[in-house]
Amino acid sequence: MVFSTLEFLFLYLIIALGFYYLFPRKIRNIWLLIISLVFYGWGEPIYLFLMIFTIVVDYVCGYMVDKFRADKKKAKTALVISVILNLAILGFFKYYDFIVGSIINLIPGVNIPLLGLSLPIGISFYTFQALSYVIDVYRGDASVQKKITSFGAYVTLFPQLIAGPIVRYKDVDDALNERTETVDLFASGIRTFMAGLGKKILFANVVGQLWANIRDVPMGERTVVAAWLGIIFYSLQLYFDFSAYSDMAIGLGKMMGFRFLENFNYPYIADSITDFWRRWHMSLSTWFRDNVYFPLGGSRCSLFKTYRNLFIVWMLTGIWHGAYWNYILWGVFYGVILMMEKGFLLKWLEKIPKALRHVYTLIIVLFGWLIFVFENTSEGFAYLKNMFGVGAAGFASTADAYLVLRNLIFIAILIIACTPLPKKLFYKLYFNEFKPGKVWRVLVPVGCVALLVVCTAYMVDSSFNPFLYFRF
Amino acid sequence: MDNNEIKVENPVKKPKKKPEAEILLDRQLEMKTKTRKTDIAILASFCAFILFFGIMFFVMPDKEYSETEKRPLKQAPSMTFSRIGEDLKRDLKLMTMTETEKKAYIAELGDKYLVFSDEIGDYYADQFPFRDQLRTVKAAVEIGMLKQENNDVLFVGNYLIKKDSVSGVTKDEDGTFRDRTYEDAAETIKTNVHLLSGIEQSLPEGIDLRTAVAGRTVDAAKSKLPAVFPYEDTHADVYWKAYSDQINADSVSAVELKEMLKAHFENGEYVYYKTDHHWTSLGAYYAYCEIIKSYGLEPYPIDSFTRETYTTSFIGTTYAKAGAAFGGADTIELFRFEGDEDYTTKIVKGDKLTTLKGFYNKEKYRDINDKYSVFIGSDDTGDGGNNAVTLVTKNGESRKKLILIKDSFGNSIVPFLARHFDLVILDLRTSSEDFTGYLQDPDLAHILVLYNMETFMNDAKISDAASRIIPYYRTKSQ
Repeated sequence: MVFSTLEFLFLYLIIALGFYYLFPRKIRNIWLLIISLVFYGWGEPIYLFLMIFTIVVDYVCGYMVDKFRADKKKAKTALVISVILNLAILGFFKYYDFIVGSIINLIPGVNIPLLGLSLPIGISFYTFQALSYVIDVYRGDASVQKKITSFGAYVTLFPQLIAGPIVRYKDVDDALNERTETVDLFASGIRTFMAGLGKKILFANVVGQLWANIRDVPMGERTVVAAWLGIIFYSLQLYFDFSAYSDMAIGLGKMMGFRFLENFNYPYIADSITDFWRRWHMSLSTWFRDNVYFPLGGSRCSLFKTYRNLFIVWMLTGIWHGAYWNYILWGVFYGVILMMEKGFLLKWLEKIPKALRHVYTLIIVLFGWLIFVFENTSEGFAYLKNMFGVGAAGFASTADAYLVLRNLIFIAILIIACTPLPKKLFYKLYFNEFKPGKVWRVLVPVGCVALLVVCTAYMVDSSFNPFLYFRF
Repeated sequence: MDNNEIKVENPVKKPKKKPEAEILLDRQLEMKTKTRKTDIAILASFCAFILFFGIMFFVMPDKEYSETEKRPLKQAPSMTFSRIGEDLKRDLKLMTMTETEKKAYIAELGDKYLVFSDEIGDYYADQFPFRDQLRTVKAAVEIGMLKQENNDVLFVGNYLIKKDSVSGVTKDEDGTFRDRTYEDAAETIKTNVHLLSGIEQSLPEGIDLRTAVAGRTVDAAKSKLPAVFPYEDTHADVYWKAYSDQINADSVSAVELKEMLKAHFENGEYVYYKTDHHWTSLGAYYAYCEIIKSYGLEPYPIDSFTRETYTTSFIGTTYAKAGAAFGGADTIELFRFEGDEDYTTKIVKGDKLTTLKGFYNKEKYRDINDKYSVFIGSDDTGDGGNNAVTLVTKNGESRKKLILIKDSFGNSIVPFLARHFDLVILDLRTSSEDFTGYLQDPDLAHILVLYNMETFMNDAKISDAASRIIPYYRTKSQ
């Protein structure tokens, strides 16, 4: 199930939240587990078994790690078992075909069957979460969870189950055992959720349709301008879609007393790629930093090793996004740029005007998404050539002019929404710094309902509501 | 990666700069005493909203059919344990298949391939309370942002104009289905004209065939569209070029309607409905004049008709797609003339027969949205005016016969043509039954094939006509 559907908002959420608050505290985690399993099994019930298996394995491993804390060897064994099992499941479902396919391509005559398994939704997210639990317990950063239902609730927690953020166990450890749901937090959750819902339905889906239209134009019929517009539209779609899911997840979490960490921090206002990756999908970067980069030695070792570590982390980040070569290329692309920034580029960048730094960053990011969006790399390459006039149908056309003209206001809104400006303005007004006072207090609930009406309208009258993360 | 700031091994102990959003959240929560009332209001209005619609969804009865959108609505999917079991089995089976096997299997299941969660989604969207009003909200927001179109319908002045009209699927050589493209549509147009030339050549002396294809609103409104609108994206020129090229190549006797209607439209005349894809009765009258003149006859002048307003609240098919209209509803006029109730319209479907005095079924269609069906609309068929077979005769007179092979544009031209001929009106899209019995009539003088371009490029069923008429006359001549 996904958040931006009518059945989620007007059926699932009512039941989930309704009973959550009807039930006494003691059984709220059990209810969360049940309702999250329903959420997960909604589209593909078949993978529920896999999910339950993961929960049991990691629960037992975490328990073992804690029990044998004194005996480092045994604790380590339990940790290793958990890591291997989790990665094996992830590897099998996500990478089997990719690896086998690559082998078949490389070595002619080899006959290994491809499986064509559909990827269990959200597997990359929940595997990483489950792993983080055992690792956190091993490191002593979090205490062991005795109740399997509470642990299950953590792994399956429906707000962040299918598209993140990846919540580290130590961040919700306390909240899982004891949390206080308050009116302010709930209201804040509604605001966050609504911001996310609006971003997904009114921004991401609409701009995504524009991108889809341009992508579907046959090669040779696309103009240079259309190609550039297309990749800009995709960049906007991905940011608004992904950050919208995170917002909705964080908002839903707050409604039930959880405070998840932010996952996006206005990435498109970054002034370097290093800065960009501190702002984009922060929970994933953090996960890799804590669990791969630092254990490998981070940057406190020889220069060679530091660069090696960076390379490994970015290669893995790439692979994490999907079992296709383009994702690996994408990861390596960022790895190389980050190495360059670390080595000399950042120092150079400091000397040039701020505006140029932003332009530099956005252009790199744009080309990054170009690699990212085409799983078929030759198709991506053809598109790239298109952007520079090779195989394009001229520079621009009336159709481009029409496209831009009729979306001028919409795109302007999207660009402003990429900056912290709207939120800052909202808080200024809402928290009375401008002191126009009471009007805003009334306007916010009214605006909330108005936004709900418009979002519902778009959900009712729309056939374009893609879920972009089924590869993750 | 964060290595520029963090120089220590364990990141947990190092105080980190908080992201802006979190600082704001903290501040926001610190301010809670100030905003408590607003918080309660937000909480209450959000919950009230989702509860209201959530409950209304169950309280309001499901609708079978949407009058506004003119299509059947998705009904509640059945959820039984056996279904869950079957779905699980199917999913397991799919899991063990390769991509190509999967595609083939899903294609084989066809309509039966229903994923429960998808079905629920469609059911919610279709039966959602106040669906029509919500669609209008969306259209208003889109047009308010000056997007000029919604759901591929252009909002031009008072007019709603569908951009392109290709529909349907086609089977590729490898057996997979895909949506038809404008190139497929252009091919269909050529094939249809070619088939019509075959029919025309097979006809015996004394019977002629005329082909008349009317333009759509988008064909007439070319000069009214926004200045930068890429007209080539409508592919209208491709379709009409395919049409006229083939007409010339096969020397088909055609009646030109598109340019004629366009001229009237540009003249500011109300020849197309604003919210519907059909021509108005006035548009039909102009078409009638051209057709009659091509027979060497004199059309009745426009002032020989009394124009009766049937309704001023007609909301048509383009509205169904667009979700809103800012030029108001349409007016349907009936071109009445003296003695038009002395005509009889018989609509035959199986053993059901609807007989109309005159050409109009006024009562049945007055209070529903499908008001265009007032023209030769049947009581029983559920086909609106698009009945498989409709017979129009003038009481107490035996006249020459015209077979009208048509789509819904033909419905509103009937009152005009009937002043000259007895009519056999065939809508081949509704039924593929054998109609050659009507060819035996000794009074038969004309066969008129009248479509609008949208039907003509998609599913005009001209091949059905050809496969009946050509062999009929061939066997007769032997």
